[in-house]
Amino acid sequence: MKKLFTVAFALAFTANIFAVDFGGLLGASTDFKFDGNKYDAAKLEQQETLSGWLRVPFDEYTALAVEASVQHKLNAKFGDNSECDNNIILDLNLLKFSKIFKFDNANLLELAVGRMFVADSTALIFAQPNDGVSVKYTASKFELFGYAGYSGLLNIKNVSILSSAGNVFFLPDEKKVYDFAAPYLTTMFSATLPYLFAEQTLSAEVMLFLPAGGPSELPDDEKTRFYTTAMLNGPLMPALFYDASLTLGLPNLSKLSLLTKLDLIYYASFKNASISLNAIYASGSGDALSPFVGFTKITSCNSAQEPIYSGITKFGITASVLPIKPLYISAGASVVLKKESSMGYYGFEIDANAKWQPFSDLQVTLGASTFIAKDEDNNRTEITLGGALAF
Amino acid sequence: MKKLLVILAVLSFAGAAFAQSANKVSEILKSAHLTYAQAAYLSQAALGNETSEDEAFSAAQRSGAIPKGCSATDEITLKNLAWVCSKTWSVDGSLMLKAFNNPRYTFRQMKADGVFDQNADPDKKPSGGEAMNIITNCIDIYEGGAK
Repeated sequence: MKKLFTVAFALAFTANIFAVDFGGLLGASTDFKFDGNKYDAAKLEQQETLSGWLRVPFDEYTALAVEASVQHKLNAKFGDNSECDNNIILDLNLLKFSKIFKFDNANLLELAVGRMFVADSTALIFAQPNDGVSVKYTASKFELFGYAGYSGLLNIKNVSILSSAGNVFFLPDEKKVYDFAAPYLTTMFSATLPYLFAEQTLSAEVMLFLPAGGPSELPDDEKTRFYTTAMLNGPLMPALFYDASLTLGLPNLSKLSLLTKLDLIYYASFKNASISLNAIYASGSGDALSPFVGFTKITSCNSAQEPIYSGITKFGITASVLPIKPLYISAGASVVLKKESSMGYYGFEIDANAKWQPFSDLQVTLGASTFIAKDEDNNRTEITLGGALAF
Repeated sequence: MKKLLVILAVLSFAGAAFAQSANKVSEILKSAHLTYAQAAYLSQAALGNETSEDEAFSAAQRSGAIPKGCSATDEITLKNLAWVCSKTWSVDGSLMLKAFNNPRYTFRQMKADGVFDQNADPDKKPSGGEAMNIITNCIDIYEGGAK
């Protein structure tokens, strides 16, 4: 990790001869979780984050962007003094050198090297910062994207990577400010055909995650994972859009697993309101298919169990509106089914969020959700208050 | 071209001086790098005020729009062009700008407002054409907000 910071600072000082734009963000959030209807034993998570960024434009098409953060995290449980952890987390969130080549026919070639956020087209399989190289070629009729990276230098305290069995690899050492994540070689390639017919966009994506060596070690039986996604999206009628995807997973390059997703979104002209319906299915054990497991840990619902998208079927509705300019409000409800011996009712979730931005550089957020599970132990009610100031 | 037409339309209110102003704007459009005097002139012209570059620069100096030590012929940066524009249009909406009324936070607020591209470099020296786009964006976005 020292090397990463050394490189970042060396680049920053080298860049002194160029103009440097810089800034920072001060954020804080307080989160209360009430699990299993135990309202007298709330879990508290208090976070304060200070991050700084700088951007060095070498010319109009070449730039270096760096962002680093220090975070204090307090986890405590009311009524139980033994469960109180204070952690300091250091991270290099972004270290990206990018260059854009513009061609005479308006086609673009974008190259990026370093640590940057990468996500797959569904954002349910792979969505995290990663170290690597990306190449994107954009033409009027198609777009190609390639990425190759490595996850072993990330801070495990900020990125949760799943094993091919669907477990988070290991709990980080709470005393370390930076601990290395599970080492994988990560590759992605996608091709997109925008406005192929009737304004519909078709895309195809393949991803391969290969166990690798690194500062931290993987279990011996860790498997190679392969995913391929086909996605179609576009308008169905004015203001009504859809987004449909189908992903086949090949854990251990053997038995197939499946993730399908459908979103319908309607944008109203009134107060920038929108309403969306969504459905997700992720195969589980016991099916003809094998359990679907992503790469980045992404929870499917806000129950106390925090299940990943594996053996899950979920139907949801979300509405959002901007009633007055600095205020954004959204609310949603979902029904979740989970595969145990068979796919059965797991619980019902409702949530509401508000974001108030009285100034362009100040934001206050309030979120509340409750998950009413079939099994009372999985119930969770959560309230989160946050604020951030950009400077 | 649309940008030029907007500026010329505004200048047309200057009546008899229109032809002279149009020539000046055309001259500025051809500049590889905008100077402080040209920036001051454009911000005045966009309001329909017919002045010379020197008069506009002196007025801008008096209003605190020109950083100390900068001369009329120095090339202006985007950050300082934002500061000049903020003396012509009302730029508001940032807590940091309220606390530290300076070119840095003015530029960032104008970026948030859409006057500048998200990746715009505050220390870039804009050409006359780029400056014209920025002035036109100010007219579009802060319409009715002239001080």
